[in-house]
Parts: sequence; structure tokens; C-alpha cells
Amino acid sequence: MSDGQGQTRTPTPTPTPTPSPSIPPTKKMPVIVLAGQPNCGKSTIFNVVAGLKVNTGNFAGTSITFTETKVQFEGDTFILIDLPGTYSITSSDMAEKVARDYLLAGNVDVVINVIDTSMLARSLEFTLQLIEMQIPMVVAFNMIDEAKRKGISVDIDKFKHLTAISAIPVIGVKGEGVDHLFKSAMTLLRYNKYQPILPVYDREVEDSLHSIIQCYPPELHSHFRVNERFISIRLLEMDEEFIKTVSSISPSWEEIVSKERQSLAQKHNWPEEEVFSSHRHAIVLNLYEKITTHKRTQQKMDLREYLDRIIMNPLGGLLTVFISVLMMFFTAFGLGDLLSKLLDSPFIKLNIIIDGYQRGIIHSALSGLSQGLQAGAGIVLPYLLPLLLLLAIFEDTGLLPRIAFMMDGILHRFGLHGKSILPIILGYGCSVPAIMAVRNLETERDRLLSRLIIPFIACSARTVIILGLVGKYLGPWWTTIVYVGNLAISLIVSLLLSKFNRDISYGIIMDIPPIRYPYPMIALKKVWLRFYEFLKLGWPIVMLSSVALSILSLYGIDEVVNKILSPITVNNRSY
Amino acid sequence: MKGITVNGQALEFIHEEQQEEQQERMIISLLYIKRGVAARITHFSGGKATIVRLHDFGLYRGRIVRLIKIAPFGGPLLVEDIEGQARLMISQKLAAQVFVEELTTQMQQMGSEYE
Repeated sequence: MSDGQGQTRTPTPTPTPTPSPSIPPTKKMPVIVLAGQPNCGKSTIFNVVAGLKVNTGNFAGTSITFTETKVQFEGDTFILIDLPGTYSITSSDMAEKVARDYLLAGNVDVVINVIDTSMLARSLEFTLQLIEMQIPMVVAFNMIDEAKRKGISVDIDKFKHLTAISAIPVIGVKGEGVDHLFKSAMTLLRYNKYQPILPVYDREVEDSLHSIIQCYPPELHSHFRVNERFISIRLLEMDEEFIKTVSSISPSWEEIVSKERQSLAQKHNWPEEEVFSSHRHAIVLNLYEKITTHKRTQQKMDLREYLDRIIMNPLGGLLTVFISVLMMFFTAFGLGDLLSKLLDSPFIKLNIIIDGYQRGIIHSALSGLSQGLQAGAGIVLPYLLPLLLLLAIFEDTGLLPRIAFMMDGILHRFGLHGKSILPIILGYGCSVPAIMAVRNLETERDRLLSRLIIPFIACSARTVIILGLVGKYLGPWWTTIVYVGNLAISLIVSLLLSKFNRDISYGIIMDIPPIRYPYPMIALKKVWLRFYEFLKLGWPIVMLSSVALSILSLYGIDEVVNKILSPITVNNRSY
Repeated sequence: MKGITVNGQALEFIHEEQQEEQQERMIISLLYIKRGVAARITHFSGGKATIVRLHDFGLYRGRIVRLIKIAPFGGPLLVEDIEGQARLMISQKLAAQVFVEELTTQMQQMGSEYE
């Protein structure tokens, strides 16, 4: 990148140790990570190359998950990790911090920076920060087709020329360019040649950086595995976590940086917090303007445009929610019931075979196992699969943020966030996918609150009971009261819980992406990967517990439990 | 938004221009701008975390935005970042911390080129 004077140089006044591991990657299995801003299509690219087996892990000491998979590519095997979406390196969000720390830990061999090309200027902010990190990197210009639709065309060769970083145009949903992308990453891995042109700030900032790096305390070398320029920039940018760490090791240097920052802020008459990031923003805009050309496209109003207008209208918004609930009911009761009946019949035969055994512990264990299998196949699977598909469609089409926008005002009154609407809607079908959908929420507080209220919502199985029993014995009015009461209880619970755990965030900001057509293969892969999680974790738990229950009942222990609970259960019956 | 693209001098130039404008024009919170009117971000209130978040979504000083609509029941704002061609949902709480100046008709036309 060049500065205002048009010169291009690599601004490394002092030798910078690159964080890329010097050990040849053949020693251990190489690690490639996908990093990028949320909704840039990282996971889509991940799903394109991931096999059918994907591991979900937790970052040490946190509840934040990442997905990883082993990929075989042209005879090589590597581990591919899908990091949580990250807007910037300076972050207050837990998931973003974890993603950043992972990158800084020095275990990553190649970073694939996925960019949403339709929002290029914003995405480049993160790209520049990654360049400064100096981890070998390939840039994937994803959603290049959507950018074209917006009239943005990107000169990728120019980007390569200005940054000395390989870049590949990609359309993740169609799988276009993905092969090329990984080829490029493998080349980087093999030859380990990575010398990007670092961003050059204006003279004042560069002078500041120079004088800061001049007195970089040597004791920090053992602490950070990243180059000193990167650390200095973090401090100039007022990254609180780095300031905290540095001031505990070398308070005098921290003071020097702080003085430089203050003088920069004074020179530009900008607040200290913004002065550095604004300079980077200027570089980003400069780069952006150099590599893109805008064409005013005479966009025809297509179906997507019309849909958008309808949904984003108060009446249309409510109608969309209503139709979504109907769709969900149709999926749960229509498709779900049909599948359930189909899957149930083999188990009836299985049960007859098991019943032939002599009663005893083997019989109990076998019948418990069969019940567990049946619960998974006959009860969860038929509802889970179609609803997971519905969830994927909601996410992929951009319907979710729109409903969230329309419902946020109402849900806010109950301490919830607009995005909680999707788990609530899915909760009427089945609690399992509903709780899976909670992942879309931003803060841990919102996720916890939504997870806690979903079990109060009448799922399809309970709806059958309500309609069947209450409807039959008490009439339609009571049915409605019980049904609506369920929602009321959930909302009251949420209201009460939110009193104890107030929303202290600085307020919500999120993207409303354009309406997109869903890609069946992408949606199905998503469904499979989520279902695989249930297969691996949920189903075994169901089977184990039903075996345990069956054995307990053989020895009559369930009777004891029933007796202990009888003051609660039996008294109710006497009404 | 012509000058901000270059080096520090240009940034200062923009800033001076902004200062002059601040004296003449009305600076209001994003919450109170008229619908459909392009407005330029002048500054933010709130701490580092707030500013970082707004920057994350491309909302920097000098950026031109437009309010499209407000969700019912005191819900969030739908704001368009005109140059970035992105649509954002911003809660009222956060929007109250973004300050803007509404642009004159002449400048509006400049902004509308991007639409």
C-alpha cells in the first residue's frame, strides 16, 4: 500500500520476528484457519470442503465453540478451523477475543481471510489488521457475484500488487473458486514465503510508531509471539487488553506509547480512542478506491426486492412471523408426523423380538436400548431434521435479521432481543432445534435467557396433549388459555430473569443482509452438520439414560423415586 | 467524502471543514434525524467499546448515513450506510450515541449518486 506521497515500502525499521512457525509444517499436521467478519461466508466455505465429520470444540476455559475438520486436499492433509466471526482485532466481545488470541498463539500456519466483497470497505479493515499480524495469509474475495449485483467490481490483481498477498475470487455458495483458494493456501504452506507489504500510515503516525518501536522493551519478546510493530499498533489503538498486559510488564514503555498517542490526538484534534483507527480507516478507503470501480446499475425490482419491502413493513412483518409459525406447524405436524410413523414401525418389530427374551437384566438393558433408539429415531429425528432445514432457510435467506428487526421492540419489553424470535417460533415445533438456534444470539446473557425460556414453550408433542386432553375434556376455550398461557409463562419467566440479569450491553447493532435465495446443497450440509452433533452427543445420552431407567425399574428403584415425589405428583391428582 | 482518502493532511483538512460546519449546522443524535435524509456522522459519545463497535460496522466520523425506518414498539432503527451500501439495525440506545448533521440538498445529491 502506498501513502499520500505515492511511495511504497515495507515499513520495518527494526527486524521483526515473523510469528509463522519456523518448523516445517510436515512435522505436525498443518493448521489452516478461516478468519473473517461475521456473515462473510466463512462457514459456507468450511462446509464446502469439510467432510461429513466435523468436530465442535471449545476454546480452553470458555464456552465459545469452534468447528474443525480434517481435510484431504491433493494428497495433503491439514486441519481446517472455522474461527468465530471477528469484526476487528480490538474487541470487547468474548468470541472475538478468543478468535484473536487463537491467531496470536502462534499455532496457525495459514490464515484464509474471507471477505464479503459486497461490503468490501468494511471488510478490509480486518484484512489490514491481519496483514499487520504477519501470519501467512490468503484472501478470499467471497460473494463476488453479490458485489457485482451491487455494481462493485474489484480488481483483484491490483489488490495482489498493492499488498503482495495472494487473493482469490470465490462464490462460496456455489463452491466456485474454493479449490483454487485452498491450492493457494497449500502453496503458501509448502514454500513458507510470505512477505506482505505492510500498510503505511501518514508521516506523523509512522514517526510515532518508529519512536515507540525504538524503545520496545526486550522482555516483551518472550511474552508476545507477534512482531513489535503489531504490539505497538495495538497500544496506539488503545486496545485495553494489550495495555493491561504491557503495563504489568513494562509500565514505562506503556507510558511512552500513551504520550505518543496523546500527542497524535492533539495534533489531529481527535479523541484519543479514535485517532489511530481513523488513520487506518483512511488507508482502507484509499486501498478500497484503488481496487474497486463502481458502476451505477439499473437494478430491476426483482422478487427479493418486493419481499424485502413487504417484510420490513409493520403489517408485513407481523404477517411474516405468522406465516413462519404456520410453516413451522406444517413442518412439524405434517412432515414430522409422517416421518415419525414411518420410522416407528421397525421398532415395534424390534420390541416383539426383545420381549421374547427371559426377563432379567439383559432384557431390561436391551429394551432400554431399544426405547432409547426409538426415542431418537421416532420422536426426535422426524421433527429435528425438517425443523433444522427450516432454521437453515431462515438463516440463509436473510429472513431472520428482518423478523428480528420487526420484533425487537416487543421482545425488548420482556428482556429479550429480536433474534430470540426464531428460537421461540422453532420451540413450538421442537425444543431441540430451538435451543440449537439460540447460537445466533450475540451475547451470552441473551443466549442463556432464551435457552431457559424455550422449555416452557409448548412443543409439538405437548401441543398434541393439550389439543387431545384439554380440548376433549375442557373445551376449546381452555385449550386456547393453556396454549397462550404457555407463551405468557415463558415471557413472564424471561421478564423475571432479566430483572436479575440486566442487559448492560452498549446496545445492539447488526447487519441486515440483502434477501438471498437459499442454496439447497448449502442448507442440507448445514442441516447434516447440526444433526451430526445430535447423533454424536444427544442421542447417546438419550440411549444411556433409557438403559439406566429400564434397569432401575427392574429393581423397583423407580417406585422409590415415585414415592419420594408423591407429595407433589399424587396431591395434584386428587383435584 | 473526497479528501479523507489520502494522508494526514487531508484528514486535517476534513476535520477543519467539520469544525466550521459544526458552528453553522445543527448537530443532532441519529435518533432524531428525519427519515430519508442523508446525514454525516460528526462524532460519537460513549466509551471505547461503543466506538469500536460502531467502527466495526463501518460507522466512522465523516461517513454518510440515512435513516430508512424505525421498527414498531420503540424498536431499533434501520440505517443505511450510503457509501458502504450496507443496511444496519441499530438499537435506540446505541443510536442516541451517534451524532450527525443533516446534509444540505446539494450534498444530498452527492450522496444519492451512490444509491
